[in-house]
Amino acid sequence: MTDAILRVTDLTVTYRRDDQVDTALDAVSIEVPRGKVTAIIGESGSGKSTLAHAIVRLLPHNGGIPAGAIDFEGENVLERSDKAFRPLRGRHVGFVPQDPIASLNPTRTIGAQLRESFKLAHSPLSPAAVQERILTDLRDVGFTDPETLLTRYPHELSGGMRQRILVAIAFSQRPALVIADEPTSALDVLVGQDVLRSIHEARTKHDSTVVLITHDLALASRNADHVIVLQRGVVAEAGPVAEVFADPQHEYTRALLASSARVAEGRVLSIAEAYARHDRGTAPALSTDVAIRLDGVHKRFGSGRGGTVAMEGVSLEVPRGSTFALVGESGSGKTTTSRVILGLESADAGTVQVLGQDVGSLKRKQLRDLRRRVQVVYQSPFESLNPRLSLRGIIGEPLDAFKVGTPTERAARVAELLELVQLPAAYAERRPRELSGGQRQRVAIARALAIQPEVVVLDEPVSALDATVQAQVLDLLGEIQRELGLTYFLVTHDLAVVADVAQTVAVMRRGRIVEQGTTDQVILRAEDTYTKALLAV
Amino acid sequence: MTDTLLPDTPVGVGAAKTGSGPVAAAVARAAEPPRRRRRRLKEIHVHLLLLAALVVIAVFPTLVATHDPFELDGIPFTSPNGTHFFGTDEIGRDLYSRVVHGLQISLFSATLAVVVALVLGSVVGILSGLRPGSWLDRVLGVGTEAVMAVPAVLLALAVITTYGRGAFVAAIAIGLGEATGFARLVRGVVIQSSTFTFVEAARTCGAGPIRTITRHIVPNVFHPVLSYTALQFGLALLAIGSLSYLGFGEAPPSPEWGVLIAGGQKYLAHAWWVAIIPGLALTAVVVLLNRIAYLLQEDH
Repeated sequence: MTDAILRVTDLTVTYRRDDQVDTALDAVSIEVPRGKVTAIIGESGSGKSTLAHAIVRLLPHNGGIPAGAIDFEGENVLERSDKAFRPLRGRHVGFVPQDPIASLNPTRTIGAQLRESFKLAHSPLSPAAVQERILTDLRDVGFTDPETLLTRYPHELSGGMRQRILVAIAFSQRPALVIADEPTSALDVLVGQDVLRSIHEARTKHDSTVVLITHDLALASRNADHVIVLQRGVVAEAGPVAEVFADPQHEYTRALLASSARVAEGRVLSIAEAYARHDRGTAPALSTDVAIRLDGVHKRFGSGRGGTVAMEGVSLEVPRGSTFALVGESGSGKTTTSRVILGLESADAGTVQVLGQDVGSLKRKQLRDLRRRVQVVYQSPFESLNPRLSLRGIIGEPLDAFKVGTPTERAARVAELLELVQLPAAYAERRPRELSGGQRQRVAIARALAIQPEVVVLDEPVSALDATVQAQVLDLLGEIQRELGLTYFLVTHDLAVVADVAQTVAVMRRGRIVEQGTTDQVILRAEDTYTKALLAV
Repeated sequence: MTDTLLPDTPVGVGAAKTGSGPVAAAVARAAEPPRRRRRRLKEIHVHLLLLAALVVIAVFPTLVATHDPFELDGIPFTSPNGTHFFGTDEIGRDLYSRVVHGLQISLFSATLAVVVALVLGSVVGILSGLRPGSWLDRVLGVGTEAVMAVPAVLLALAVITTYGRGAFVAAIAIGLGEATGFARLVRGVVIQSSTFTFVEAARTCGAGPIRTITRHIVPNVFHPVLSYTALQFGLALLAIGSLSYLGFGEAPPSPEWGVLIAGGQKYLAHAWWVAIIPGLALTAVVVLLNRIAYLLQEDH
């Protein structure tokens, strides 16, 4: 048996919901080897966060542990009372939360919050020593000027900086074990890498064990030594990363790996490698007919010094019948660009042509007519569907709005659309809350296709979905495109998605397009440094 | 005061937003409502049934009244007994029958007040909420605030002195005052619902403004407004009673509850029931309405 710092045996966690009891973890047994990074991976609902919260005893009030043991350093901590457990937290077990925005107190300075962690742990250090240690710790997580940082407030810092401060807090008492719950999922890719780097540096320096909760296989593969795969509250598979990823024994692990084009034969491929492997057959030549053309578009929100520039001289062309991907991080202006194309925002300067029409000069009625031909699928299917309507009402909305056909014809069309997005016809009477995320996104796609548009704007269509579901939805979109000859304008932060589906790509940063070309050019022969950094992730 | 009544939780989508994970479990939950929800629904039903009974009595008071509310058919100040359930008043009228007939006046004028408030407030609220910050929103906002700055009773007194006393005028006056609260509430929820992605999705689907409002915004506004309406209904009842009590609403010999309380208070020392029983009736109805408002809000 290996030297395990943490051993969980037959742990069962339940949540009370009204008079019902849901089992989130069902007799889970895991071992976390000392001094290593162990990744717990799984999709939403797999119980991975519940496991992390059970270990640090941060389960919500309706959570209960009817059975099992959590042995930390050989002691079953479940036997401790809440009060006796508290000294463990922080001092022996550190925690890096998922959401850096919500996890720092907005009314107190960074310095005060760092000092608080020493106070709460009853640190024997003198104030001067504490100050000294805080400064070193901040340097360790990558801050070059920690002195001024101490006097600043959380809102003055970016998400990545806040997350690195939370890393510093988690390691501040030199705990033997640090649990990081999806520490990068709320952050942009490049920023997330900095955070992971800071975790690794702190870990090696202080010789800690890290448990990394994540849904991202590539991240787990690259950062962890051991991996535990959870599926619906049960451990599917566990073992060293290299072994599990190279030779998965469990069906679910295989399905997870298959859904991620980035992990193959036990290692992470670069985006370019994954792209090169991808069998795309013989790509049809791009049409010379242009569906969307932007020429020198500027867009600014607010005025004066407080304003932000969302688009600065954006020019692009989308060939008809192809998929164009606009890639960028949050705040790059990519969503604004899609909204300008849809006529939801007006450009300050430049021309926006969609299907031969100048969007900026259209009257309200003409814009409405254009919308018959340009539809949109939003990022979150949890927010884009009216919870009070049945699927028939949601999918039929454009048909009703444009008064297409008779009511019987519309009902038939809804049935046809459900079939197209591979949902059972009986779902027409269901409401969104009865559906999973992937199913909801299929409904959103069906609605967008109802009036047979020529262009569909896809605004991060899969980023709210689990990996296995992402692959299904992308496949579905591809099939529909081939069948109906649609033009897709895809907005995404994920170059891996782009490599899968797009023929032409533009990379956007701070309102400007930094690189543009065919997918081959951009992925295999990138010239811009920022594009290269994104590709290196 | 009305600002604090604005719901601080997102309307509509809140429940729908939670995880996509164990779908089977979620579906099972949606199909079979848990016991607590059933209990709450049952309690709402009981309360609504009570309210319905009151409405029936208000429409057909003679069904349950035992005497003519205006006829002097008993010995003055008879205490409650078998023939006169609530006793008689200072000139021998049956108090029970007067309270029953008074319910009609109270309930009808409160309904009128709330309808005025709801219609006026919703129109103002929707108009200003659709384009927050527009000149229309600003004009309506200033107007609402101006009305709010005047105490409700003072406003009612001003309307009554201009248009004459009586339950009808009092109800309109109260309704005008209450409309401001509705306007604020509706404006808030409309602004909030407009930020829902599905409202924008409706627009990109080609839905016009009327369709967007009726299909996507109003159903999500409906719940908080319904609950607020029940609350305001109780307040309107109280306000109308107060105006009558002060002598600005109904006048004797009307059996309006405020009038009954005002008339009976002189005799509190030796005939408590003349003032206390109508007072209890008013309290009971207001509590019932408040409870309904609370349950509706909980249900949401």
